[in-house]
Amino acid sequence: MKKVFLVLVLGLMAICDSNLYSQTLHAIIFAKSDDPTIGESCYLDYDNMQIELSSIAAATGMSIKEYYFCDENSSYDNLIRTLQRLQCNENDVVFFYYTGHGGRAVSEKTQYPQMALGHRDKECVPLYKVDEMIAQKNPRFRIVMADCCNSVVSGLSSKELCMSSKATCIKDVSMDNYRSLFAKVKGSVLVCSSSVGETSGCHPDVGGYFTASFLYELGDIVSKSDGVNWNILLERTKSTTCRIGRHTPLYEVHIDNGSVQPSPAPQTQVSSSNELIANLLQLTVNNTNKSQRIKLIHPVMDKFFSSSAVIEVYGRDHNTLLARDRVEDYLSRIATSSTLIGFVELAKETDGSGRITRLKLHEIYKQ
Amino acid sequence: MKTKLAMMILVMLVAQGCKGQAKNDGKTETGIKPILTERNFIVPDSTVSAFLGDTICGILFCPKEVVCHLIKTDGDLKPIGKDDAPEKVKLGELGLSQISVLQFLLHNERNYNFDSIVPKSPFIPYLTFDFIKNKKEMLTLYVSFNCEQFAVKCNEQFIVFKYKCKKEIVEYCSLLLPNDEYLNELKKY
Repeated sequence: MKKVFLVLVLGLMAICDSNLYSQTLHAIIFAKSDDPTIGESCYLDYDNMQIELSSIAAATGMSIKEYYFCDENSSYDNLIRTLQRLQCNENDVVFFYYTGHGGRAVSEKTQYPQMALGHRDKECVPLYKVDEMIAQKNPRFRIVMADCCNSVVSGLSSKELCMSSKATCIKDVSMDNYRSLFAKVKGSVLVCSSSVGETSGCHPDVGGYFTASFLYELGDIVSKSDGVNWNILLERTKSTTCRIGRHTPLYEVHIDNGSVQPSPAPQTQVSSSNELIANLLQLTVNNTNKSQRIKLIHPVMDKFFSSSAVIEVYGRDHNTLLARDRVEDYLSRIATSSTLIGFVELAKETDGSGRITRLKLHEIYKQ
Repeated sequence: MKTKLAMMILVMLVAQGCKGQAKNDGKTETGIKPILTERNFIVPDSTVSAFLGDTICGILFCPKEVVCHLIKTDGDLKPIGKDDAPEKVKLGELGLSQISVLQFLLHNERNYNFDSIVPKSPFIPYLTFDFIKNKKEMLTLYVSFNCEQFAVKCNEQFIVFKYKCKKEIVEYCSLLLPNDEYLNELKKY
């Protein structure tokens, strides 16, 4: 009896301990990629942000939980449902990102816009409301970001509620800087792409000018700088957006200076809420047991792929084909790679039984 | 004070329109000959003329009458397209000076934004101007402030384009509707 009790106590302590140390990145993306005028650029933003969020998770050692919505799924109902069901631990990070149309009401109470998740007034959600809803979940750090117009729209009511063609490669210094920005901070960041009264711009080849500027500056700052912080990143994003998109982002950074529980070292226990990606990660260096990685090749293959499946690896621009392998060759390659640390699923085709026949991936490496 | 300033702007705009026309010596750069020269002395520059085309310019800069409407908004953010007919409230017919100022804002390529940046706000017009030349030749100019775009609907054509002169257009429209809450809000930015 005493032994059982001891095992229970130790088990409970282990769970508590893992909760303290494990961090999850809740990545939430809503992209109005079905819009006839800006849909193409929103889809580009959607792809680019997926890659960046996977890079952040890979670089910081955080598990990623993906809540990605595009086309008709980027709806008001899905947004509210996602935010209501969101469950965070006190050490987690929430990154919310929206790209699409937006605007503000006459006499809007905040400086931040409403996101137009549909054509009806009630489907427009104020950005600050999203920030409030996420804050209620008590994550350690939250980033709420919208790339949309902030111009006044008549009839809208105030509510109370250029990328690389290669694989992503994260240097050691970048890993440290990513951790400084996402894993070692506590507080919140609220950002939108334009100031009060301004429109935001986009282009089918660039995506949203704000999103493109943010991703460019984030990539640049984590690869070079020492002592990165959110104020520097967002000031640089603001400057670049002003220059190329001719609108001025608005942001607030509230970082607590108190000590933060250290996050686990990268490449340990990195996981994904995407079952396929989670299984592929088990074949990479995220799983330190090399022999187990080799043993997992066939179970993963049998579980997800048809025997003749083809894996295509694309660069960060989503267009440059870097490699095309038969599934078995591909899984063998990743199981023996010492630098591959993450994947982003770009597209897949399945046969009648639901097995993948063609999979488009983007890979994330550490340098 | 504000009214005085607005009046001054209007006088200056009209005066400059007259000056520009004097330079043209009565001939348009595009060959479009104004029908009612004493009433419609502002003509489009060559860029505007090429962009909008002769048919549209022929109506826009030589109308017999221009009627302004306010589009009814009920919180529906569905963008207006070629086949849409939004519900409107007639505000009235524009006077000659009001037509001239509107034409002045439309005649110069510097008031147009031809870059490839697409605004991330839906095309929701607030006002329309029906330019009527005769029973067969008429067009509607839609003005949207939230995305800073105009649209011209003429026969089967529906052309949407961005403008640069937001302040002037807001000022102009608020002179037509001085007590409009929405336009007064826009004047703050």
